[in-house]
Amino acid sequence: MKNLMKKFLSLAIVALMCFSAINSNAQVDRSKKPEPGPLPKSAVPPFQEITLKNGLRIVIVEDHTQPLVYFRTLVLSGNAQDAGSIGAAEAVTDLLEKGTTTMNADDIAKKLDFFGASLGASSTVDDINVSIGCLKRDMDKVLPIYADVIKNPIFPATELEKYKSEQISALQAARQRPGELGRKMGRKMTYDVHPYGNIATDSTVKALTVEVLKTWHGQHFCAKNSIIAVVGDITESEIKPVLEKQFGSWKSGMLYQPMYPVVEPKQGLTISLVDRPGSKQSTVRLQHLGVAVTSPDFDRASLVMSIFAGNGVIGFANRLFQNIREKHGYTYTPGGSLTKSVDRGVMVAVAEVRNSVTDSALDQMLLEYRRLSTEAISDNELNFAKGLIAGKFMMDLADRQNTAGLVLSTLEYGLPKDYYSTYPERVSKFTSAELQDVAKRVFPPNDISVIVVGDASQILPMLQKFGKVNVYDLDLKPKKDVAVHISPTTSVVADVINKMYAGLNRSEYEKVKNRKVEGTVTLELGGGPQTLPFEEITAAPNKKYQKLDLGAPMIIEMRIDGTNVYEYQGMRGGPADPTTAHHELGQSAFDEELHVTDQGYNVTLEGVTLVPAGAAYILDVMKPGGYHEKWYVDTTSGYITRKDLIEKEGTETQDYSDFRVVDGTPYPFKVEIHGAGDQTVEIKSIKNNTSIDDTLFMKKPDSKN
Amino acid sequence: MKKVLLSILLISAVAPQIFAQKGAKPALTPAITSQVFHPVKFEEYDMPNGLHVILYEDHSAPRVAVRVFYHVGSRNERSDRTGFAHFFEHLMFESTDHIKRGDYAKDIEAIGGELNAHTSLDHTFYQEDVPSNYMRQALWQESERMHWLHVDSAGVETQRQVVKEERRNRYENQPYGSFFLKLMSAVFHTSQYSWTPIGDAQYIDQATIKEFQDFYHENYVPNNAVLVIAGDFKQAEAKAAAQDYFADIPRGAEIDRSYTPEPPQTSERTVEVNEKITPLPAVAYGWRTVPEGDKDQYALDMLANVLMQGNSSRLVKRLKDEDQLVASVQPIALTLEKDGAFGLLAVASKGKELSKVRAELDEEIKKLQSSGISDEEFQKVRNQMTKDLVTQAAEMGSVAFALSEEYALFHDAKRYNSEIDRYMAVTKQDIQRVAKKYLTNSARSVITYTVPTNQ
Repeated sequence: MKNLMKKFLSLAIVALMCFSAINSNAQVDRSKKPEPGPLPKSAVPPFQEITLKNGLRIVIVEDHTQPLVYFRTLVLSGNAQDAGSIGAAEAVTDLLEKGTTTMNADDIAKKLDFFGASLGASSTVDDINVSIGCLKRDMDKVLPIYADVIKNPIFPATELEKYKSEQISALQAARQRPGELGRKMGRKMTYDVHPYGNIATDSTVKALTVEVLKTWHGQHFCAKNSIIAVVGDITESEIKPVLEKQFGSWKSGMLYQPMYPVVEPKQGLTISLVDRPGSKQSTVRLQHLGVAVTSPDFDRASLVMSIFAGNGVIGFANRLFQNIREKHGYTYTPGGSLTKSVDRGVMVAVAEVRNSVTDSALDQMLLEYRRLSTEAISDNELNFAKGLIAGKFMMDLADRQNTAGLVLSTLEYGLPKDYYSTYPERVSKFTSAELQDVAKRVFPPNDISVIVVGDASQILPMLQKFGKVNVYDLDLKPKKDVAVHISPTTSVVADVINKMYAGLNRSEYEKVKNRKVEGTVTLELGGGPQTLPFEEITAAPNKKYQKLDLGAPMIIEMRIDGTNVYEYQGMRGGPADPTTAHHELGQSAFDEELHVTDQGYNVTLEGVTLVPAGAAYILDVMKPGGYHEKWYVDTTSGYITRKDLIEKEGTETQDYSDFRVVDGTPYPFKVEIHGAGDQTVEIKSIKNNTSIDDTLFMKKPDSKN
Repeated sequence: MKKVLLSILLISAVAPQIFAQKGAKPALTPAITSQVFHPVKFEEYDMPNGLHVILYEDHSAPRVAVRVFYHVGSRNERSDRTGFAHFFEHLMFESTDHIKRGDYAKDIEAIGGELNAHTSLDHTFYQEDVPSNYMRQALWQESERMHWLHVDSAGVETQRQVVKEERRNRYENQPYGSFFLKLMSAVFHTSQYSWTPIGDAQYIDQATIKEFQDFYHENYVPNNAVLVIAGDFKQAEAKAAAQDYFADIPRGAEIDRSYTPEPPQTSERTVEVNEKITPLPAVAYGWRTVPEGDKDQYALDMLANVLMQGNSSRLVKRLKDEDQLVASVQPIALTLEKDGAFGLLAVASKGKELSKVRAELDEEIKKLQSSGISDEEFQKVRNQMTKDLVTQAAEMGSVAFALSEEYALFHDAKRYNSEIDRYMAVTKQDIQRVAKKYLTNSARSVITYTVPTNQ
């Protein structure tokens, strides 16, 4: 129950207002907002706190509206205490009512249903809540069952097996829920080994055993590690003996003290896209590591969050709502929160937007996020937020279960006793400078994880404008090379070729007549990958020299003079075999990309797909000489990011990346080749238009076959 | 993980509100049940312009809830202009003669108040909760939008986009999100209940500003509204404030409440839904039933409990617990002003065939029709109803809604305090009888969700 809003404990005494003077026939001035009456005085609603001999703490809040009673047990251990068995705390929670030492699951269901009393049980990273409500007249029958499921569950094997298959169905369903996908991806991004990042999977579910659950329950469900709140139509003297009877003999145990690894905020901007084909909206999520509830920054950061995105309540006035809903109409329910937990929680802002505005919405969300630390909050806005918090606090007094929740929360986090009663007063003193100072730490402008759940085929190119995008599948595993079909912005091949020419900066490129490239090739030579020095000299129109240095005398060379291909190992070698020669000649035309429109290339546009570098148009290229290739032209940059060479023996794929500008023209400094064998070429230097020795392209005069 | 399963069941944000509304109508007869239930005490009166005012005091905390129930919902729309009532739910937060655009919500939030609204097939409901010293401000704001709302292009354009996002968000992008829309259009073919409040996106786009203005002037008038003031106030002050801000709003023309009744259904209807985002196959059944207030409504609500309320209920116990065929099974018991619907949505477990799910559903329904329910089950559903009704009566917001709805539909808010009698009057035989009478195969609509092969 970490996300319970802070509540102010008070009792209302409305000061007398004299309205008798108002003549009901008099016209009010409706052009003016009515003035408020005198501020209601607040006091803490009565509650009692008692501790049983075994160490169990009990909080009692009376509420006589209707003859009802609610019990809520808070166990101070949660999902983060799963240790090696992810999902154990949750399974314990869900299976409490599936059998005890004296009743089986059917008995329990029958008895509780009979009184209309359903057990609520849920776990968070920090704790477990088990609650029940019933008519007061049924309390003496319902409470013993409630106490029994908390104290004496046995987790029968048959029930655990059913639970596992239910969980597997639930995980399957969760794979299609955009909010759930975003939350899980966010947890992966924010927490590394910290248990707040644990995510249940089919295999963690299958690994659970009765023994694990019994051990978990035995360690954490005990009097000293629990607090019970009772709210309803009862008094302390009435309820104390009843609780003593049911819980007085519960074993004392120990208060659990978690020890967590230190987690640091992620640096820089990262973009993760969970591909959900068919998605009608993109769920855009900004996430950053938050602060622990006991941190001195927490209250100020919460106020900043409420100005930014409402902090847990749907607000109309927060910046995100005003911007992306009211001003732009991108979304229906934007929102955000700074979670409240024992260790550092998360800052999350999220909006579900239609696919076509994914980039615009992200742009505005980042803008609003960055403003928090780069601009001071105006006095108007600050006073507004303070008024909101103070008023809301007072309003929340209405619900006595909230009162109990606040008392529990104070005890759980070890907050000062007057933490909530002094909350509005403390908030009223926060200054704009303090808030900006906190925002710099908690909302650093350049460190933010962007997580988008949506249809990659439609939104990937939009996200690439913001930086490198890592694409994941519905199981949150990295997704590469998956063909995703994108409706292209043009169906005209000439548009794509022109885009490519523009991307290459064709007029500059044409000034290059020869090129000398040095770098390394990493390839598999038996006994693991080796990285070897590599040199390539090429010249217009179709000359090429390549050298791979395996250490003298093992120097491997290839020479192309325009019509012939020669291969050498040291001094041995000569003309290449016809298959190799044909292949290499197809690759020898100097900067052929500049000449597809004037060298008789037959090019058709096949559509758009996803390659590792991002969305790309697919050009089907038939070259003179019978060469068939596919070129992938990046939809944003116009660079060629991949080529497929389609040959009888199979297809060789070349992925180009690490583009750098040399003499005004972009050149890929990394090429990954997948074909008969895998090779990676990494370039160290490029020199254009140097004087080169033409004999390097010729047959070696003194070679031996 | 319970939360995950539950959210599968959260069909649409409109539907749960309607479900909630059905339940939010509790009461017990003081004479029988004074130990179980404290009857709700309230004042009510009419203003000369036809506005009905209900004052419900609750001094447990310094806050006031102001509610306006407009007796206009999606069924008051033209079939080629659906979505209007819900669209107004959005427009009502725009500007008025005396409140600038953007200030409506801001002025409430600035004082820590909360505002919200919902739209059903029969009504729209506006809610403001404020610290008690701001009661007059909340009343002023509600009165402003009752008569001085600006229905102009600035507001309309923005809300057109927002409403379209809402549609995508709730109905198109969530697994089974389309369920409520599909169900209503299958169960109702000719009546105004065949569409739902979200409406068709195209009509909101096609409508002119003049059409929106006409809809406003026809429906948002004091004689078509109930004002509830609940919470921590003094009666004289509340009455004076209501007088100050609402008395000068003129009465509107009589509302056209014509309704095209749905003819009886003679053969089963089937709808197959293929959506890429469906994770597990699902089946829904739906039947037409009876309008709000009909005595069979109470038996049908109890029948829903026998079948699907709690782990010991028949369908949950057999299909979910024993045979592990479904991930969830959820009731639909929708009582409307002029008609009603009853049904269920069952989502299959991973790897389970929908045909098996359907076979067991059918078998259980048949069993209930032929053999009825046990004494123990009967007592159980009576207890469940009582507990749920009392629980809702403890919640000021639920009470405020129920009182206004009772008044709007039956001109009798006090009916709230005797609602429990109508549930307690249902017999074991009634529950079996309504199962036989309404849950027939020929009057059934079946909606199936299939899973795309690439999952």
